[in-house]
Amino acid sequence: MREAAKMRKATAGMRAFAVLNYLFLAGVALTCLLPMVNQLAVSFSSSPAVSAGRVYLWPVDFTLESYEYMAGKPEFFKAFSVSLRRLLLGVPLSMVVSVLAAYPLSRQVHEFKARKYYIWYFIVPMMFYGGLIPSYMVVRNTGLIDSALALALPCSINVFNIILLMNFFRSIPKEMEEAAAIDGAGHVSTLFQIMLPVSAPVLATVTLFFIVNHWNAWFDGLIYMNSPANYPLQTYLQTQVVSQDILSTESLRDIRQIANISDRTGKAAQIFLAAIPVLAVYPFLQKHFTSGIVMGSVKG
Amino acid sequence: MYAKKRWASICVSVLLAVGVFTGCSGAQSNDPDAPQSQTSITATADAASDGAAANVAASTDPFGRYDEPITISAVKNLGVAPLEFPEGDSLENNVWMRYYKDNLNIQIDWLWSTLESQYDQKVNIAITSGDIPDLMMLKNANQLKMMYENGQLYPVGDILETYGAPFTKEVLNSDGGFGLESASFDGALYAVPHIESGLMSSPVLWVRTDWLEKYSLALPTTKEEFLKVSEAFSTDGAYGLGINKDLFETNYAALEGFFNMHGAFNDTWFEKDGSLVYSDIQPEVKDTLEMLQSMYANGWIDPEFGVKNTDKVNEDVNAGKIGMMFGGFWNAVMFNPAKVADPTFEWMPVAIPEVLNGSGKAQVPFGTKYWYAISADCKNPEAIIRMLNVQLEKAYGETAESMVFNITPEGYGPFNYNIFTLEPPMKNFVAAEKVTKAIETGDPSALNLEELNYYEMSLLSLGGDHTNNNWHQLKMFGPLGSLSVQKSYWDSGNAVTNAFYGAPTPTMVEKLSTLKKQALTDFTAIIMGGDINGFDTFVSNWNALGGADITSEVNEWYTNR
Amino acid sequence: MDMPQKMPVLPIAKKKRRDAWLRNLPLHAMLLPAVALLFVYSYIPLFGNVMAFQRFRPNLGFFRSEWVGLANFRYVFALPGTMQVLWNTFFIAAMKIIAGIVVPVFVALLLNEMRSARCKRIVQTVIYFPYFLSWVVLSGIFIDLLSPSQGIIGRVFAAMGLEPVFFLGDAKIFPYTMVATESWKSFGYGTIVYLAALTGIDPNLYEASDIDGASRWKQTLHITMPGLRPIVLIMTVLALGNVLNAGFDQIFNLYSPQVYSTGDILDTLVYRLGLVDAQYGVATAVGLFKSAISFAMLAISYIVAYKYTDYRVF
Repeated sequence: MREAAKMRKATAGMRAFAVLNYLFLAGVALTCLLPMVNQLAVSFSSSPAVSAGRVYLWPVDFTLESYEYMAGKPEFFKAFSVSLRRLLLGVPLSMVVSVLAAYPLSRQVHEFKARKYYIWYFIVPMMFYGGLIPSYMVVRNTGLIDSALALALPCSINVFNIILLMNFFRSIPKEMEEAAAIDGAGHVSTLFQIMLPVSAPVLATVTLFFIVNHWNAWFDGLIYMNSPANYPLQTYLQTQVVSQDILSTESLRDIRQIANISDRTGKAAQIFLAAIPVLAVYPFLQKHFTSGIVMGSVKG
Repeated sequence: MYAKKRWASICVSVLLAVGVFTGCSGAQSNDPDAPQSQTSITATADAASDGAAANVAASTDPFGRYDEPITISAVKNLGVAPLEFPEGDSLENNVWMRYYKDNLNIQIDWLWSTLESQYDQKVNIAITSGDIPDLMMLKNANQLKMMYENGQLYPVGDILETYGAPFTKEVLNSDGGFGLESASFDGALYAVPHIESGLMSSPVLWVRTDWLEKYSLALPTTKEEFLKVSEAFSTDGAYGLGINKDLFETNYAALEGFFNMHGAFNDTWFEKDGSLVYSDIQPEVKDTLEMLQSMYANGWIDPEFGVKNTDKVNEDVNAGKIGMMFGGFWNAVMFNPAKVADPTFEWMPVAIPEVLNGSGKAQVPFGTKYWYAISADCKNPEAIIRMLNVQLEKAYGETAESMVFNITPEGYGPFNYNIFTLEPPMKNFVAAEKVTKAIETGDPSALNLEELNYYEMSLLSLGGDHTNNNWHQLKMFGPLGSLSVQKSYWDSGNAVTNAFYGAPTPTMVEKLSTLKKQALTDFTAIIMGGDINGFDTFVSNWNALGGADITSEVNEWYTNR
Repeated sequence: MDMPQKMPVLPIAKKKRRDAWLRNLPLHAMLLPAVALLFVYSYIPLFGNVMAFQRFRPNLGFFRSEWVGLANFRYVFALPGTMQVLWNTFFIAAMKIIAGIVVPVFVALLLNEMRSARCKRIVQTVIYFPYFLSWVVLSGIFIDLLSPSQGIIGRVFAAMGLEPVFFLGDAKIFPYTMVATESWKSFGYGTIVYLAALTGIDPNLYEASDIDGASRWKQTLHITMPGLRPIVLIMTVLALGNVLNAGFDQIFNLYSPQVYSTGDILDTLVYRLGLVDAQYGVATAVGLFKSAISFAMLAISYIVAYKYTDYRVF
């Protein structure tokens, strides 16, 4: 009797909590959604309405002009394809190198003594940065200037991601490895046959992080590429969206060009289109976060 | 033990790397291992120039053709938007490149190109990493100074004298030789200056004339009238004067013009009692700030101006919340969209009040804002002078083919496909005069193609079609346009040109940004109701924190000039 | 930092060690690609930090440029206001670090309580949107939103009869505005890590405690929180490396002369120095200073975490 009453009370409290929780998270989600909706509305509005600051969450004077304008702009799609190529090259490379590095680092010191040296070797570059010019010189001297590898190789290692992988590997129950070791499995087969199959959540997370890193990076495109035609999307966008320089006195050289500046509606359309790919990948990878449950069941 | 060995090997590798670095960072490495694409190009240029040298040396023809092909490496600032080319053309292959190839036998090798906003950064990398192209445009004086100090510049004085065409020399000297002086170090010329009229960067006052009509007011020509208009305009959530948080240098809703109205200036060196003084610490500035303070207190300036950048102010302008602002001659491009949406929305550029009667003076920045640098390692520097001769001649000289090399009838702008974009400095003022006259007489026969374009756009706007920035062109080149306003400063003798055009002095390099930040902070505080005597504190701080040193350095330059 | 392996030195041990070396050979091989890439693209450029001690001249290179000792450091610290700038940087960065841990953990915990998988996924996807908008775009939106007279928040304050707050124009409030907007922008991204960690917690533990009749709250306290502890620890230690990164893009786009006193940070200072002249020595000196402080913070926090929780963060 008392047990049942306690249960009921608990469920009532829980239900109240659940409702509040839903409301709260819905509110939070809404605040995150609005700026994106604003950009979307801007992209569908006429430019006088936008430059007068009249557009909030719904298009004013609905028009497809900015998208038509974009369709006539091959640079955007060229940059888009450079970015895609960068992802296809960079993300698999980063994943392989990182997983391979994370496994040895996840070993206990007593079985892999060199670990403690390696780990600091990995930590130091996270904090210390040689600066723009030396990095540029190395990329130049390794012959990568103006090639897709210049975007994929130098930033292929992200120590933070390696640490995430490493710690996940360490949290995998020792019993699984021990069982494998008894079966005579070496390091390589332990990694591929025991660890990776149960690491879906962290692999999905890290893959996503690499995708986002590669997708959002823009500065390297600027300094390592020799012409705007080879810029990845974010570098291209940076040249489009950051317009403050236009107002500087140096730009008076050519009045005709000032008249050709693309306006905010076009920029908003580009910003929106540029965010789509990563947003589209996310729910897909997210599914794998929950498959971490596998780990528990294997253990049982 | 293992670790020790590994560290040893790392150390060795670092030492090796250092070797690579110093090799490459030194002026144009001879390291055969350096995997650079330029190396091979320079090599071919070497070989070619050896063969051509004999012929070239014999001829000093400004337009002389090389017998053997030579290659000049260069980099390109694409401007604010990507270039557009006629079908089949590109940066590598266009009218200019073909002309250079056919008539001079010079091939341009573009090492890299980038848009305006990133150009400085790329140039800094080039200068610091030692990857200097034969020919590079520099956008700021510090880069020029840096390259000079690094020994990366070719002294161009002699070759310009020997190979420069008469028209080239005429254009380069058209500003009275100041541009050339700005590119000289220790009396020798080290770069080709881009000559432009500084007058084009002087401020004008933009006024909402439809509001003037509404309140039955006349265009302001004095401080008192200006205040009266400000007050009248500050109703219904609008503000008489639009300003942005950066106060200066943006050329849009900025304060230079306001200062000029009071006989004060911003960031300008001018002569006073025989020596140069810095504008921002002069007593006139105090009066100016006091007036701004009272306008702010009266609600004639947006109380939130302190956080609004030019983009935000522009939104307010387009939304009809701003009645007047000081800015550049091109500002109408920013509010052309609102004109399209509402044809009754009307602005007019007028002279800064008090300037034409002489109690104020319009400030005119120095005209040369960029330079063409020839690398000290360039094998054929005279070829670059020949390229310059050709550019000026074919675009603006006696044999000019403006429709081919400047602006095509289809609307392409080949002038921008060249690295040199020199033009006679008064070109735009002349164009404005001619376009205005053509509109008044209805006879465009005297116009060249470029001017004809402005004329036709202006006519469209006069006919009610303000799209495609037609209205903006009218406001610049048409009757009572902004360019004619700027010209009036000069014609009436009421323009003050920045008297310092030397390379940045050592203390400027170290302290100027800090001092400017201080000015911005203190001026903003005063405008927003701070103690006006804070200005006196600012002046003494300015002198104490390096300003006095800068002043003496500038005057040393002034007397030795 | 690790368990010392005390072993009697015997011939047999030598053989064992060789065996261990052989057995670990694959481990070294696996590390090789990452080690090599880091060496080339991170360690070699590190040498460029010598510029901090030089009056660097490209034509002279790293070896022949004039050595100036600590002059570049002294120069920066002698500039008026550098100490204030340093404090601003530290204050904003530290607050951001705290918010950057607390907010995502909190949201991840709440999300974890959501029963509907679909709602969970929608919320997760949506809160991750702002991460993809650059500060250039967001600054325009925030200037509107936070305007005391026009902005939504300002109007709500006015409707309630409160004095409107000038979030971006009041020097006292500006740092907090930076912290709030930054954590709003990036909490969705941070949440991903914690959610992944939550799904990694053994569900058997929850089942067992259900049988014991533990409440949801108790489960959160005794299973979820301890389960998150390692990852929170890692994130905290790593975040401490950012103790002097206050966020250049954000502050550069949102600050103004009115709030320089509390909003000017090291990176904006260097930017201004760089605007006037490409002073590489000075910029590198500041960078090196930041790195050294960050590294020290990271090392200390690592040791402290190990000492008190017995957990090696990495």
